[in-house]
Parts: sequence; C-alpha cells; structure tokens
Amino acid sequence: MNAKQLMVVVILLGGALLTNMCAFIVDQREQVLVLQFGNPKVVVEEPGLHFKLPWQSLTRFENRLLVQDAPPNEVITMDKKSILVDAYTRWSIVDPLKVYQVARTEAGVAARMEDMVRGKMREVLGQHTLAEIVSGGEDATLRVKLMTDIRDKADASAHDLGVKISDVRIKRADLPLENSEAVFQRMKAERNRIAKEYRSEGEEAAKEIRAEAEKTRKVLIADAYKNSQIIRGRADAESTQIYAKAHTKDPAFYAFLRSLDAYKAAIGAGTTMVISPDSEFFRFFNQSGK
Amino acid sequence: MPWNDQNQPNNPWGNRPNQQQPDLEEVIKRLQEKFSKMFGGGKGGSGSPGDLGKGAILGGLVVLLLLWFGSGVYVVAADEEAVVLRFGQHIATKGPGLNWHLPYPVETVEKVPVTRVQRLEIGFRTIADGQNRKISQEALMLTRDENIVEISFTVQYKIKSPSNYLFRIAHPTTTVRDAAESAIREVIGRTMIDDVLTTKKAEVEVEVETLIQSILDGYESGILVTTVKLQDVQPPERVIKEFKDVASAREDRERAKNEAQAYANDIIPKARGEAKKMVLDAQGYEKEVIDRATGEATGFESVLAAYRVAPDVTRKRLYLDTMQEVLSKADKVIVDKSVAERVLPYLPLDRMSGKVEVK
Repeated sequence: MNAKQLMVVVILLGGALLTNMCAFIVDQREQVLVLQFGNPKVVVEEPGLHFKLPWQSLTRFENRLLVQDAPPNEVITMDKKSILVDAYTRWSIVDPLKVYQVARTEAGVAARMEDMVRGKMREVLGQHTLAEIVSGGEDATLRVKLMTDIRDKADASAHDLGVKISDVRIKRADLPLENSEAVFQRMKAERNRIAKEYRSEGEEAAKEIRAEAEKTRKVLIADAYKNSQIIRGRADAESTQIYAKAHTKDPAFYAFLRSLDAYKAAIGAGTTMVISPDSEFFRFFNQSGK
Repeated sequence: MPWNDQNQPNNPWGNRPNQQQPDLEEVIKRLQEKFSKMFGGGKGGSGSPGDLGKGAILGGLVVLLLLWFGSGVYVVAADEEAVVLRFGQHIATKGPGLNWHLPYPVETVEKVPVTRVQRLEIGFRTIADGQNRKISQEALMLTRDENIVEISFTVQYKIKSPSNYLFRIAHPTTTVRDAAESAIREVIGRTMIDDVLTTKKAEVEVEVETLIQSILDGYESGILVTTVKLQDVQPPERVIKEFKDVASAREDRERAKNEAQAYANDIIPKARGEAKKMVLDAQGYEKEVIDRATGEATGFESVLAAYRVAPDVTRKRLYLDTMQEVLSKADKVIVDKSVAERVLPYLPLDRMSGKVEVK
C-alpha cells in the first residue's frame, strides 16, 4: 500500500469519524443542550438532523409531559386536623438551559420541583378545613379549585427551575389511621341510627295502620247501629200508627178485647184468684137468672 | 418502545449478520484488490483479473445497497398505525399494510396499536382466572358525607392519536391510572355514600369517565377512554355488619307494615259483615213488626165488624170465653163479699195453691 492509497483510507475514515462527531439526531421526544467544555452553548428543540463542533458534547432532556408521583404527604388543615395527601404532578421541561444550571439532570430538577410543590400544597390546603378538602365544600367544586390553586402557585415558582407544571392532582386525600378509626365508629353509629329509625318507622306505620283499621271498624259498626236503630224506630212508629188507625174505630171495644187478651196472657196456671161470687162472672151463680 | 422490540420478526436488521458473514470477507478482499488496482496501476498484476475484481466489488456494493434499502420494508398490522420519524422528527403516520421507509439511520418507524382496547384495574388486581386481590389503598375512599367506601373498577382505553400518545406524554399507563384514581375520588368525594351504594352507580361511572377523559385531554395524551365500569362497591369490611343491619331494618319496617296491613285486612271485612248484619236485622224487624201490626189491625177490624152486628151478645160471649179460659187454669178462692172483709187477711193464700177449694 503506497502513500496515495493510505491517504484515501485516512480521508475516508476521518470523514466518517468527523460525521459521527459532528452530526446528531434530535428525537421528537427530546430537546438537546449543546455544551462546549461544560458550558451550555445552544438549545436544540427542533427534531431532526443537526450539527455541532466535534468537541462539543450533548445533554438530552425529555420534551414530553412527565410524571412526578410523590409519596403521600401529611398536611395539617386549617381546623388542625392531619390528612394524608397523595398527589401527582404532571410537568415538562421548558428551559433545558435553566434545568442544567439549576440541577444538571432531569432527576435533580424533579426532586427540587417535588419539594416546591409539596410546600405549595401545604400552603393552599392549610387554608381549608378537612371537610372542605375531602368533600369539596358546599358545591363540591372546591377540590378542583384547590388543585388549580396549587398548580398555579407551583407553576409560578417552577419558572425558576426551567420547568412548567401543567397539573397537580390530588389522587387520595385520606384520613390518617387513627382518624379512620373515628370514621368507622361514626359510620357504625350512623348506621345504627338509621336502622333504629327504620324499625321505629315500621312500628309507627304498623300502629297507624292498626289504629286506622280499628277506627274503620268502629265507624262501620256505629254507622250500622245508627241505621238499624233508625229502621227499628221507623218500624215501631209505623206499626203503632197502623194499630192506632184500626183501634180508633172503636176504642172501647178495643180496650175490652185487649183486656180480655191481657187476662189470658197474665193469668195462667198457679195463679190464685180470690173472687167474690158477686162478680160479673158469677152473675148466674146464685140465681138461675131472670 | 416495547411493541417494537417484541414483534418484528421481519426486521431486516435482525437477519443481516448471518447472510452477510461470508460475503463480507470476500467483499473486503475484493475491495483491497480494487484499491491496489486503482492506485498501483499496472504494476501489481495483469489486466483481466483486475476487471473481474472491479465487477465483483461493484456487484457487492449493489447487493449491500439493495439490502440496506430493503431494510426499510415493514408491515403494519390491522390493529396498528405506524409513526414514521425522519432523523427523529415525525413526518408521517401510516395505516395497516406493507410499507417502506428510508432505511436506518435516516428514518425509523414506531408502531402503535390504535384499535386495541387496553384495560386497567383499580382497587384490585386479577391474580388468576376469576380471582381478585383487593388493594385497599386504592379501593378505600371518602364520600361527601365523610364515610369510607370501598370501590374497585376498571378503565378501558385506546389510543386515538398515535403521535400525541408517543410524543406528548412520557408514561401512558401511569398517566391513565393516576387520572382514574384522582377522578374517582373527586366524583365519590361529592357523592353521598347511600347514593354510591344504591342508585347512582351508573351516574358515577359516567362522571368518572368524563372526568378521566378531560384530564387526559388536558395532557394531550392522545388516549380515548372507552369504558369505566364499577366492579365492586361496598362498605368497608369493618362496618359491613352495620350496613347489613340497616338493610334488615328496612325489611323489618316493611314486615311490620305488612303485618299491620294483614290485621287491618282481617278485621275490616269482619266489621263490614257485622255492620251489614245489624242493618239487615233491623230491616227484618221492620218488616216483622209492620206485618204483624197490619195483620193484627186487619184482624181487629174484622172482629169489630162482626161485633157491631150484635154487640151485647158478642161482648158477653167474648167475656165468658175468656173468663172460662182464664179461670180454668188459675187456682180459685171464691169468697162471699160479706165475709171477705173479715176473712181475707187471715187466709194463708201462699199455701193454698191447688189444694183448698172453699165455697
């Protein structure tokens, strides 16, 4: 191999090496910070093929929405109750240069951001009562407002870190263990109350139904008694009238006839009568009659 | 991307080394020969082998080039879409079928299963067929009235925008899970426990689905939530006994009502019957007395008519008939009027029944 040949090989190899050192690809999902001996030079956000000087190095950062899920965090509410809040943050890197300056890496900035968000969360939630945080206050929209507040406050501070906070959401806002115990006790008490209420309601309804039935019965009987008495009275009146009408035709004869009937009915076996022989019946007893 | 690693049997890069191994040495050898031809001039060898080597080298290069271009062929399955990146930049999205991209490193392809419905379990995990393990930390949540309820549910979702799915969010599964957990707590946090347990399950499902979707849209995640299904909604283990007691109390209430109703149904018809009887009795009495009166009156009138024909005789007869009947039954003491006044007080009237007959 002579010098000419060697030269071609060297040129080819050198060219390949240079290309390798100078060209770089930026993926859609990342943004790249170009460093010259550790000094940030330029930020490349545009995806595609790019070039740099051979001695410059690259630091790549995520361009997508990132997750930061901190462990549950105890927050003291305005009414001095403690609550465990499990929240997550959705964030993205907007200024790789700042991120590099502040924390060098994505993980580093994530940790600092997490601390910051936790602080804001304590600040915002500390101005509300436990009930408000858990159930969202009067119109149940407070929870959403709280999350927005935390997000806005955190986002304002996040600017210094070179990141943007898109969302802070409370996953869980649970009561600490000793409070859960109290909740269970309260739930039990409440259920017992409801059960008692149901049973008492049942008794109430049953009594009412029974009383109503008794009343109906009494009304029915009374009504029927009234009607029967009316009927009976009317019957007596009518029959009296009928008798009277007939008897007035000859009251004396009626009295006579009725008396005879009465004697028949009144005087039966076992009646002792002391009779004078002068009585009408014995008119012919002592004389043969004339 | 995981799906890229797993299922690409037709990745040309995977097969290349085996095919190329014998060729490569040959090509290098030929390349050397070519170089020596080029630079060495006629010095090294004769004309004819050099021509042969030149052809072979060119052939080899062409084969290499073809293989390189061939590596850009890829298949997109029916349930996928392919996102094409040129130097990392998204330039196109391709549908199912046979496609070709400029070979690596110029273009790369990432396949996304767009129609495949993915499923997330929250509050429980399926550990075997039909067997679930509860995850209390996820399942327990507070209701609006500060009760604790245990809810497990599933979220089904698919990818509606492959480019957003790939390029906007870093952790798709975690994103959906976080959104779902947050959404269910928000919705349950504004619902009463009794509603959650009984009538409002469907409403909760709809609300949660809408909320998850709006959270995910806020992230431009490219994910579409298709179904949110509540699996199990119940009070926590600790208080389940009390909840059951409420249910049985409700039954007790109904039973008490039913029993009372049965009592009412028993006595009212009986009373109605009794009432009817009273009225009917009265009506019977009415008929009876009136008929009797009418009969007796008519009888009297008949007797009267007969009596008027011969009053004195009839009177006497009636009188005597009656007296006969009366006196024939009764015990009689006949005392003369003149002695009666003196004797009467001494008569032992009570002991005389049927024995003495004084004349």
